[in-house]
Amino acid sequence: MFSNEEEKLMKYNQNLEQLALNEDKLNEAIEAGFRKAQFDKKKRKKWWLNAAVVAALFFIFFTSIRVSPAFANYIAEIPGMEKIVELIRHDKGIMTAIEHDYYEPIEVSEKKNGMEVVIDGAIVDEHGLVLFYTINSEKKQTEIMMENVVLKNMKGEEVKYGSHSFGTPHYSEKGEKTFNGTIEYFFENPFAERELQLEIELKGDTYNLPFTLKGEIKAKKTYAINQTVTIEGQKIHLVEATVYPLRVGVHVKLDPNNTKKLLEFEDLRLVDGNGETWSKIKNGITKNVLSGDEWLIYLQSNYFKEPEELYLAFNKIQALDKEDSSLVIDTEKEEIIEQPKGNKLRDLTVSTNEIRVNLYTEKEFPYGLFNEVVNGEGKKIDIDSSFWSGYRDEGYAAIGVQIPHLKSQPNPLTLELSFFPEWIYGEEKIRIK
Amino acid sequence: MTTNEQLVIKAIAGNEAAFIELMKMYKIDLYKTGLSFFKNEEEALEAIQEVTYRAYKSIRKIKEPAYFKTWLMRIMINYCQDQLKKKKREVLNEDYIQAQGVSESHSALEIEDVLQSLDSRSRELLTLKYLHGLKIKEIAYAMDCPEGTIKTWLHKALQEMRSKFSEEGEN
Repeated sequence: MFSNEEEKLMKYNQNLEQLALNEDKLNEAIEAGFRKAQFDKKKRKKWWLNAAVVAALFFIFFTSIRVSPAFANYIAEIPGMEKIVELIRHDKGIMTAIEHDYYEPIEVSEKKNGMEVVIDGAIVDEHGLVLFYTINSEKKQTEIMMENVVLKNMKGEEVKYGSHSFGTPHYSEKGEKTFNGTIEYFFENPFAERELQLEIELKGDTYNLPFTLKGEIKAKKTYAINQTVTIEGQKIHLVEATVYPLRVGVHVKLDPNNTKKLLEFEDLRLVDGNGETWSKIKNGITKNVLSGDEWLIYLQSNYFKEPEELYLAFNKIQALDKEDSSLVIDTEKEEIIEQPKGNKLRDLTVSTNEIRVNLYTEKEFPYGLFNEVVNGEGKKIDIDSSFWSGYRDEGYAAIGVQIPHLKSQPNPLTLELSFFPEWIYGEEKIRIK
Repeated sequence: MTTNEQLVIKAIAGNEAAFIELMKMYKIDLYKTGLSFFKNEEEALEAIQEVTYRAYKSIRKIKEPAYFKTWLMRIMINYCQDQLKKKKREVLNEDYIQAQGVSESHSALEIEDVLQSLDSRSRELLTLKYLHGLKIKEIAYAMDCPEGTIKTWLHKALQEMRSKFSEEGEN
């Protein structure tokens, strides 16, 4: 019936076949794509694993803190320490802990097939454990990455953790023989184990590294706050701040009657009497959601400073009207049905397994927006992975989620916004000590 | 079970060599699709790279190894359509026109224009069927639709093509 059209298509196909390119170039493209996927697969493992808590992640940015001369001198005296400075430059609290000798050398290692894994040392508090490691290789390596890390007690049971990150994907264009990184654990219950073993899988070998923590654990300091503040009509109750050597947890409760959904306390910080500040955790877990309206927000620690006065301060909070706090889309029509005022989300594209949308902002807004997706039948859908493209010169960043079998989900899809470039402003400074 | 299917099963299980072998097996199909959408070698190669990346990342989601080719071509077509949507470019690449050879260029360009003007579902169906020689059954499985629906859609797509051609003829 359409023989003419079909013939045209077949002829067109023959034309394309005649144009087929030099096979090497096609093979190269396939190999390049494969390498990218492999590297990405490894990189994704670096993300924080969460056993029991819902957490929000800030994208990883190395906003380095200036290293004080005293600190530089201090670490120069500890063998191997200069290597780890780069690893902690984004966290003032951890730097101060080291400066105050709260770093415990461990130096346990194991060698296998030309590779050596060393646990150099640790910083431990009641709820956290940060391990510093070195990987030495006889041959230069361009790419190296821990495949798996398991922390066990001496009975061989895996230690229960709240969140865990490991294995910065080490990548070096020209090849290196030594790599350094940190492995971090945070626990929901007080962490009392002292005899431990770490199992690390690297290049197909498993390394077993038993170690004992001997240092004295510094006890937490708790500051009760119990104050309610109101910003642009939104009530926030500050319960308490708990200060540990590795981080500070600020417990806040939001009033359920607030008209706005508060998303992120962007600039929550500790300020002492001299104006020195400690801001939020820059690389890792920034918040645990205890329940919808109750959060623990994490700040860099001021544990080793003993200020006479201590304040909790904040000026801006990301917030959206409650009825306006999600992106609703139709995947079939590839249309945005609802979004917050201002039309900042545009250029929606939906492919087999990916929703992608551009967020237009005047300045960089380095957050992924979505944590939860609900389908047209009100069912929560699993997100495979989410991504943030980086801010482009054109004034937007592409943001998206990957969802298996996306098109089989009943429309419309509701993507809850967990970050958004809309703020409420105030000037809060609450004395907590 | 065919050798292909065995390869797919291995690839799903995480065998990297099997995955690469499969991709290379379909490289010409991928390249043809890329050329048909982008009309230039560079972007077609870029598409192959990206689609290899995406395929590797989601290979575990394949439920029916026999339909690997359909699955892969759909990833490719989706990628191409997304890219085109982003660019909305109309410009033809001159190298490509020259590569067509003088005698062929007219009809190839004409059909490309027509394909480009079709809705994305029609174009996807025509590409799967006529460029990749896939069966209605395979397409129906991949799109999760009854075969009858696919036939109706294909029919519509061809009809649409016909009317576009006659429009062009009139102009």
